[in-house]
Amino acid sequence: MKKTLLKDTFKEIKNTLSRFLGILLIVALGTAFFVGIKTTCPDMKLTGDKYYKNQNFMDFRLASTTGFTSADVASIRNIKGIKGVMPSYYLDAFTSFGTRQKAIRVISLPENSSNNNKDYINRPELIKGRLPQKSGECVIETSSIINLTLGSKIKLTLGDDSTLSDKLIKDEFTVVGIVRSPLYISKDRGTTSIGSGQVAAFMEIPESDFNLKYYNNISLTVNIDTSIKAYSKRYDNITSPIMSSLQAFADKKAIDLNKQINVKNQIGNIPSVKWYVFDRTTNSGYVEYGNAADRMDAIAQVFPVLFILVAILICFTSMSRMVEEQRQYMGTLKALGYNSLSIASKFITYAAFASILGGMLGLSIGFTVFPSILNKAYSILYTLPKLELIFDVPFAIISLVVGLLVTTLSALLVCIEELNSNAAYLMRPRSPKPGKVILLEKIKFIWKRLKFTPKVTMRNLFRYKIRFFMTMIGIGGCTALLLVGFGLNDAIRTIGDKQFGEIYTYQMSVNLKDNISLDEKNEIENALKSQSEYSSMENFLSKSLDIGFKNTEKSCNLMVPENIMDLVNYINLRDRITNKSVPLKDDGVILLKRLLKLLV
Amino acid sequence: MLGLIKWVLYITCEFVKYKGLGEYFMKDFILLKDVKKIYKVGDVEINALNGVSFSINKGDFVIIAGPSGAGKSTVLNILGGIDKVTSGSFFAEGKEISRYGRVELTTYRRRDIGFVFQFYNLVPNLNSLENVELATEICKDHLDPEATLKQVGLGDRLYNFPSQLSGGEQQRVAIARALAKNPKLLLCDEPTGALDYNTGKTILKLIQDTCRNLGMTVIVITHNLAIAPMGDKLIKMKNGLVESVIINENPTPVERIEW
Repeated sequence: MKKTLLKDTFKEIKNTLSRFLGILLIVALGTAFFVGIKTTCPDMKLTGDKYYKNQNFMDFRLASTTGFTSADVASIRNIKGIKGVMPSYYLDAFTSFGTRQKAIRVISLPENSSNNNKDYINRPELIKGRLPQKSGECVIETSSIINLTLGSKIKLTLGDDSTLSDKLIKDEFTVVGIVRSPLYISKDRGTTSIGSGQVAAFMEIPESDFNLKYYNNISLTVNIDTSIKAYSKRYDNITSPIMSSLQAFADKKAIDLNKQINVKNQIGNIPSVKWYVFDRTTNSGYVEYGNAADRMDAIAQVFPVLFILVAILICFTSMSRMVEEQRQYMGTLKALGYNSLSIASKFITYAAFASILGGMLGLSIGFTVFPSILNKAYSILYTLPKLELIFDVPFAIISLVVGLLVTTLSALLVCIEELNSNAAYLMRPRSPKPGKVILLEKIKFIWKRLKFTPKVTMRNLFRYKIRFFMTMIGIGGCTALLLVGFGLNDAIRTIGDKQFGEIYTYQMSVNLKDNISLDEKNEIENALKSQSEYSSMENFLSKSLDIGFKNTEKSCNLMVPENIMDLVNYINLRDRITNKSVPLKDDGVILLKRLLKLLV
Repeated sequence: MLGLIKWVLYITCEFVKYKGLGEYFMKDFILLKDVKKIYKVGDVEINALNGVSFSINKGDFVIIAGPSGAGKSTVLNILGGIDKVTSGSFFAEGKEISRYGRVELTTYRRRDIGFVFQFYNLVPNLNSLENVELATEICKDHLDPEATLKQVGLGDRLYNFPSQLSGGEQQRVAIARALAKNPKLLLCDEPTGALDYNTGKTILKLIQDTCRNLGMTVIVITHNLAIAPMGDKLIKMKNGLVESVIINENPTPVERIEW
C-alpha cells in the first residue's frame, strides 16, 4: 500500500472514529465472549486438576460393610497400578453453635503428614494456622455456617445414647488450623444418619485420637502421568482398568471374608460382608464442578455464533455505508490509475485495523475478565483456589483470524461492485434504483385504497432488498433475544409454581426429633389442630440415606407416608411429561427422575 | 514466388495490425472511429454517442463544446480510459485503447492520462501536497509535486486541506495533480464550470500556458462557446454526434477573450 493512501486511511479512521469504534467494539465484544466462555471450561478444569494434584486427591475409595483391617490395607497395595493407600476413620458427631446443633464429619489425618508421603491422600489445604500436631487438636473447614477462629474449642457429642469415648479418645478439640479439602469442593457435605441428615461441615483430627477397631475407609491413588488431567478421556482410560481389577479384588475378598464368618458362626444373622469400590465420580464436588465446566463449554458452542452474526451485520452495514459515501473517491483513484486492489485496500485496512485492535482488546478481556467473573459466580458453589488462567495461543490466533476474515471479507464484499464499475460511473451520482411494480399493485381493490406513503413504503421494501433483509434479521435477532429472556424468566418462575403449587400441595411441615415420645407428639398435633387455618395433616417418616446403583452412590432423602392413600393430598407425584399421577404402592418405591438420572 | 511474397506481405500487415504497431503508419495522436456508447439503465437504453469520429494531433489544445447531453463528457471519459466504448474504436498513439482490458486500462490511465474534473475531486483527508503525491506515487516519470504546486501558484498552500482552500485554489491543486503525473494527454471536464468568471479565466490561462510550455496535448470540455478561439481545434458536438470540427490556425490567448 502506497504511503499517501495509507495516510488517507488513517485520516479516515480519525474522521469516522465512531464508525471505527463501532466495528472495533463489536469485534471486541464478540471475541471476548467467544474466548471468555470457551476458555472458562479448560480454565476451571485446570484449576481443579492442579488442586487435586497438589492435595493428592484420591482416585478411588473403598468402603465396606464391616470396615477394614491392617491386613486388608496391606493386600490392596499389591494391586497393579496402585500408588498410594490411605486407610482412615471417620464418624459423624454433633456440636453446638449457640443454640443450634450441627452434624460434623470428623475425619482422621495420618500421622505422617509430610508432603513426600505418597500414602497421605486427600490432603487438606491450610488456609490459616497449622495442621494438628498432638492429641486434642483439629483443623476445620472455612464455612459460613461454622464461624470458628483459631484457638476456639469444639465439643463433640453423639446424640443421646451412645458415648463418644467408645469412638474417640477425646471429646473436645482445639482449632489450630482452617482448611479446605479436595473431598468437599462443592457445598454438599453428604448425608449422615444423625440429626437432620445433613452434614454441615467437616473437621480433621489426628488418626491416633480415634478409638475404632476397623478403618471405615481406604483412599487410593494410582500411578498416573502428571500430564494427564482430571476430567479428561485419558484419565478415564488409565483408571478404568484399575477400577475393574479393584472391583474383582473386592468381590473376591468379600467372598473370602463371608466364608470365614460362616465358619466361625455356624448359626446367627451376621450380615454378609460387602466391599464397595468408588471412583472419583462418586464425589459430588468433583462431578458437579466438572459438569459446571462442561455446561460453560456447551454455552460456548452456541452463544458466540450469535455474536459473530451480529458482528457481520454491523460490519456489513458500516462498511457499505462507508463505500457508498466514498464512491466518488473510488472513482477518482481509479481515474488516477490506481488498480482495484489498491482502492479496496483502504477499506480492507480500515476493517482489518478495527478488527485487530478489537480482537486484541477482546482477547485481553476474554482471557482474564470473563473466566474470573464466571468463576466468581461459581465460587459461591465451589471451594477452590484462585482460577488458573490459560492463554491458549492457537485459540487466540483462531479468534483473531475469524474476526479479521469476517470484517475484511464484508468490507471487500460491499465494495466489489464499485471496484468492478467504471470510474466514470462512480463519479456520477448513483442513479436511483428503478422502482418496480409489486405484486400488491395487481390486487387493484387493495392498492386503490392505499394512501401515498404506504404505497411508497411497500415499493421501497422490494426496491432495497438488502436493506429490507438486514432490518429483518436485525429485528428478528433482537426479538429472538428478548423472547429467550422472557422464556427463561417464565420457565424459571413456573418451576416454582409447579413444584410448590401442583406437586407439593401442602403448606407447612413440622420436623420432629428422632426419639419423640407419643405424648409429646400428640401434644404437638393437638396444638396444630387447634389453629384456625388447620385443615389436615399426615405423618411422614423422613430419612437421609445413600443410595447405590452399580458403581454410583448418591445421597438422597427417603420419605415414607403413614398412609399411602393420603399421599396424593400432600405430594402429587406425576409423570414429568404426561402429567399422569404415579400412585405409590405397598410393594414399591418411587424414584424421582432427578435421582434416577444421577444414578444411571 | 509471387504468391509467397504476397503471403509474406499479408502476414506482416496482419502482425503490424495485431501488435498495434499502427502508430508507425498513423500520424494522428488520437483517433476516434465511429464510436458509439449506449448506457443501460434498467431496461432503458440511452444512446450517449451515436458514432463519433475525429482525430487530434500531438500538442494540440482542443476544445470540445456543445450543449448538455451532447456526449462531451462521455467522449472525454472514453479518451481517459475510465469508460468503455460500446462499438467503434479509439486509438491513442496508434494503440487501440478500446480493446484494452482492465489491467491495461489501469496502466494507460496511470501513465498517459491527466484528469481535471469539474468538481476537482480532491481527497478531503489529504492536504494539497499529499493530493498531488497520491497521483505521482504510482507514476514512473512524474514531476516533483512541490514544484508543480509552486508552478500553479500554490507554493504557500502546500499543507492546506481542500476544505481550507477556495474553489479556484482547489481546482489548481487538481490541475497540479494532473500535471505532476506528466501525462501525454490532459483531459479537463468543465474545469471552470464551478468557478466565477475571473477565476475561471486564470485557470484556463494556467492550463493553456503550462501545456504550451510542456508540449502536452490538452482537451477541454466546455459548454461555453466563447472560449473556443483559444484552442487549436474546436469540436462541436450535438446529440451524440460531432456537428463540426474547426481548425483554428491562430489561437487567441485567454486573456484577450471576453465572455
